[in-house]
Amino acid sequence: MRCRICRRDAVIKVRSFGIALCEEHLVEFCLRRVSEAIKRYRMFGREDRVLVAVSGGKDSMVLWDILSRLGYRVDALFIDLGIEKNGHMERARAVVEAFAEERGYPLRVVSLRDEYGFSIDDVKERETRTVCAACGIVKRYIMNRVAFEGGYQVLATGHNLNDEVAVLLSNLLGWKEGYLSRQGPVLEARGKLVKKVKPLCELTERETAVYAMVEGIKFHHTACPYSKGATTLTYKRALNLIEYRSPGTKIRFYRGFVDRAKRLFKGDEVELVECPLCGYPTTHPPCAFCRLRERMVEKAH
Amino acid sequence: MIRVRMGDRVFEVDRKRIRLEALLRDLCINPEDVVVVKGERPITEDAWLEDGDEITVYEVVSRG
Repeated sequence: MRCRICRRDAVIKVRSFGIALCEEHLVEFCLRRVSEAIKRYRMFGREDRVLVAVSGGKDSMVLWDILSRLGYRVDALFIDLGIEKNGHMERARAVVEAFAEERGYPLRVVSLRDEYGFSIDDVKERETRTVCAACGIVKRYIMNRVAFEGGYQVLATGHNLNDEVAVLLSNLLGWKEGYLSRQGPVLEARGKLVKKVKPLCELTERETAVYAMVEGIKFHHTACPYSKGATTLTYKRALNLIEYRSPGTKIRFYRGFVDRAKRLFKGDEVELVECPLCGYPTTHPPCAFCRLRERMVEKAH
Repeated sequence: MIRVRMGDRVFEVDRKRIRLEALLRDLCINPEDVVVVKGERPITEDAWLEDGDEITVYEVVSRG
C-alpha cells in the first residue's frame, strides 16, 4: 500500500479516512489531528502553561512529544507510585527520565512515598478495596495539586480515542448519567481544580503506537501488574471489531456524543467544600486522598 | 514458513506466500488491535509475506 500523499511505502492504513500514510506523513497527520482537537475543543492557547501527566506508556509519551513539537509551553509530570512488582515503576521512571534528557524536555517527578508517606504497593497490601480505584484517586489528586501549585492553567492527559469511546460505551450501557455529563475532551477549571484536557482524543491507539515507533520514542510496554482483568479491554476490543467492519465508527460515536448527546445528560450539581486536612475541593470532607492517606499511616503502625 | 513473534511467544506459520490481513484472520487477530512490524518497519495489512519472513505483532490495546 502506498502513501496517499507521496506514494512511498505506507506504514499505516488509517481506515477511518480511507488512506494509507508513510512515516513522514503519519507524523504530519498526528500533529495536525492534535492541533485541530486543541482548537476544536478550545483546550488551551499559546500563552497557557500546560502540565502533561506522563506514565511512560506510549500515549502520554507521544502526547508530551507532540505538544512540545507544536510549540506549546509544556512541562511533564511523572508520579512515582511505588509499584515495585516486576520493577514496574523503576522501569517506567527510567524511560521517562531518559526521554526528557534526550529531547531536553522539562520534567517534574513526584514520589508518592517521599511526599505522602505511602505507596500503591502499601494500598494493595493493606486495603481490601480495588487498588485501581485508590490509584485513580492518588493520581488525580497529585496531578491536580502539582498543576495548581505550579501555576499551570491546564493539565493534559494521554487518553486516546480508543480510551474515550470505551469509557463512553461502558457509561452508556450502565446509563451512568453523572459520568456521561462530565465525560469529554475538556473538564473546565473550578476553584482549585485545574482545567483538564485530552488532546489525543481523536487519535487511535494504533496511530499513537506507530507515531512512537517511527519517531523512535521508547516507551514502557508492560501494563501495571495490578490492572489484570480490566473491563476496559472488553469494550475496546468490541469497538475495534465494529471499527474494522465499519471504519469511522469510533470517531463518529465520540464526536456525536460530545457535539449532540452530552448536553442531554444532567449530572448532580454537587457542592464542593474545602478538605479540612489539605484545603483542596471535595464533596465529602476529608477528601478521598486524605482519608486514604490517613488509613495508610494508621495501618503502618 | 513465516515466523511470527507475539509477546513472549514465537511460532511459525506454514505458508509460502500470504497477505498480512489473511494471516491475521487465520490467527483470529483483528488488525485494529495490533501494529505489525517487519524488519523494524510497520507494515500495512495488504503487505505480502513470503517464505522466510519474520514479523512481530504488537498488541496496541492498552488497559486504559
